Amino acid sequence: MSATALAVHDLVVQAAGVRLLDGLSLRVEAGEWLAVIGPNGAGKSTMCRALVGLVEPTAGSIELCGRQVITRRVGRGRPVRAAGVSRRDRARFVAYVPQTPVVPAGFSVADYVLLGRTPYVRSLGTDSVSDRAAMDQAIRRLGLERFAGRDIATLSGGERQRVLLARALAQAAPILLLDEPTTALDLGAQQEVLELIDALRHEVGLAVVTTLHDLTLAGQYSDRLVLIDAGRAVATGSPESVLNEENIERFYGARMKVVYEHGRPVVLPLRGPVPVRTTGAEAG
Amino acid sequence: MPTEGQLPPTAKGADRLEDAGRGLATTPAGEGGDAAVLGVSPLPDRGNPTALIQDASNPAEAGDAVAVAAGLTRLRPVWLAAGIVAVIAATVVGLVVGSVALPPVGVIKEVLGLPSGLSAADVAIIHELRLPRVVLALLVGATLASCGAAYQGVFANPLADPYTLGVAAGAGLGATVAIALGGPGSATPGYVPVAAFAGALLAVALTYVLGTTGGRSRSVTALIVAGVAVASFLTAAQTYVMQRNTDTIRQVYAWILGRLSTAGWGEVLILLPYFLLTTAVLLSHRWTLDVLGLGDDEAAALGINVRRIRLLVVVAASLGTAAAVSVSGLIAFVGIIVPHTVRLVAGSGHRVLLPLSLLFGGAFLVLADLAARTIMAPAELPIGVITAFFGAPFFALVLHTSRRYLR
Repeated sequence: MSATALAVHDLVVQAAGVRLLDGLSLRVEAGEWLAVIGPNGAGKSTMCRALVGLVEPTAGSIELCGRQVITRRVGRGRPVRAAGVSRRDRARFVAYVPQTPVVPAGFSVADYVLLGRTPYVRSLGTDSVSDRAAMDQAIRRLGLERFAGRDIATLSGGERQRVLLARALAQAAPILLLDEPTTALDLGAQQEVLELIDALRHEVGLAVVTTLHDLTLAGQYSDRLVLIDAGRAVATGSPESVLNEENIERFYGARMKVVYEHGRPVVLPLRGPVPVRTTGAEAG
Repeated sequence: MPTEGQLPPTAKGADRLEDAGRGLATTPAGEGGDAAVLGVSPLPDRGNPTALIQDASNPAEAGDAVAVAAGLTRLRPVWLAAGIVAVIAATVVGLVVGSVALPPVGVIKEVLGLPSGLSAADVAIIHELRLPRVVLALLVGATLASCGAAYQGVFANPLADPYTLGVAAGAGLGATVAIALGGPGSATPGYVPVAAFAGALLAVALTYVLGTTGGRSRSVTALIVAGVAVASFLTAAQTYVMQRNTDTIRQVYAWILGRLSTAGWGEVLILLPYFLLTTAVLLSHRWTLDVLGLGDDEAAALGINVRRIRLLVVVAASLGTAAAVSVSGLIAFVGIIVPHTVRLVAGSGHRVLLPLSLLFGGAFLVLADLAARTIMAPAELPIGVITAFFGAPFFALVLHTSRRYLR
């Protein structure tokens, strides 16, 4: 019964002559958690930005919930934004939590979460009863009732990340896209946030796409992994199939040991001579 | 009936989205079963997801319902009432106080069109001198304050105002050229407001072009830097014109420092349409301006056309500012101190900020004008001196006390 939430085909993003994405293809089913991993500069953040329309691809197509939003143009020229899918429509499909979100001054948690309703707020209008209800639900769901009136700037990193999740939840989009959700969080907060994401996707049937630096967390939490290098997917599949010592050595240039805990890979760093990476990422 | 939270029915993914919405509203008991379908085998030590779900039967629920909604920054009736009272009080004081003191009750009756028992001379003072001056001060103060708030919102920069963007400098150059061309004389040429207006719009256009060229990923900083450059250039040009025409230098200074002393109904009528247009545009963007506070990327990811909104709000605010400056001269700091005070006491959202800036900005300028014409009576101080005299220390206080707020 699972439907495809996100399908990306041969996506190319070019900026100043550099190919940031070079024919990336991936697919995420509803309710599935896909972790996107890869070395620095592989194109993880660019992928996120392309999915929410912050960069226009030079080729390829993006399909959200079976709807083409970026269509390959037959013959020459750049792909075009599909007719009838506005920026607003797209925001109803994908809720995006960037790596380093801007925290506006003087906003309470409730104010901030309510902004997630922007794709539903009528042009030139303001929030409706249903928007406030969605805000209320999202805040409750993430257990932030106590913080509703607090200035968001006064929260700890973990609390703030929960507020960001609440905003994304209020957006009521079937796809949740998180760019490095655990960066700058302590170990406990990292696990708390990832557990919450896991609970939410089961409850609501969200398709979750996260980029993750931490390979162990990626292996423990996601259903599937895609390893990106130099703008293209070089390995896709179950955590066990992607997270092996050979892949890590080759694409990260890192000496790691992969052990299994509860049937899922755990990646441990080892001391010793650093292997040479044999990929295009460094050259690019 | 389709609700706002749902997609158009044509969308193939609509059912999924509705599922998402439903899941948000009520947690279906059967959802947990989907995990097995999707082939996820939760690890024992990864925690039970349901344990994280808030218990709906929590007895504290009723109290929390109030708490969450109370967390929103809203325009509280008490602040709205305070703003309206401030406008009315400032208006009455502005009409009553002056070289000829008038009885407050009689003044109120006269303005409301009731029999007031005032002499014909007093009635003339109210209708021909004080009322247009007070109304103009209200409109100019409201325009400068709300446009300042809009600039700060649209550039996500607490220091943005007509000065940062070169609008005021452009208006100054326009007026200086007009006065210099008019030659020495007691009467200010009638086309000075028009020239100031043209100069202001030229400055905004220059700033915008300069700050937005050089790539698609232009930053807010680039625009402010461009504004500073444009302002410096135009101010230099203005100084040059002034030095070449020393015979009109006094007139130019009088204009630069701002004055409402010559105000009549004519100036009110010049400003009114721009005031209404600007206010309508700004108030209709009260939600969008809040979203822009998240930064360009997040605002765009939430479905906002950042470029178009920013252009529209900047043009509207510049139009309003230029119109205000062209009838009143350069009145500094109103666009900074009024919105910042409102933020500190009543909250940051533009649904609060814009209406209260309009009201308190108007009231503030009426009182500043009152001070300008009474402190050294019968001589008049330029109103810009009053606003700067109170504005600069206040501004220093804001900088000192709210480092967090200014980031």
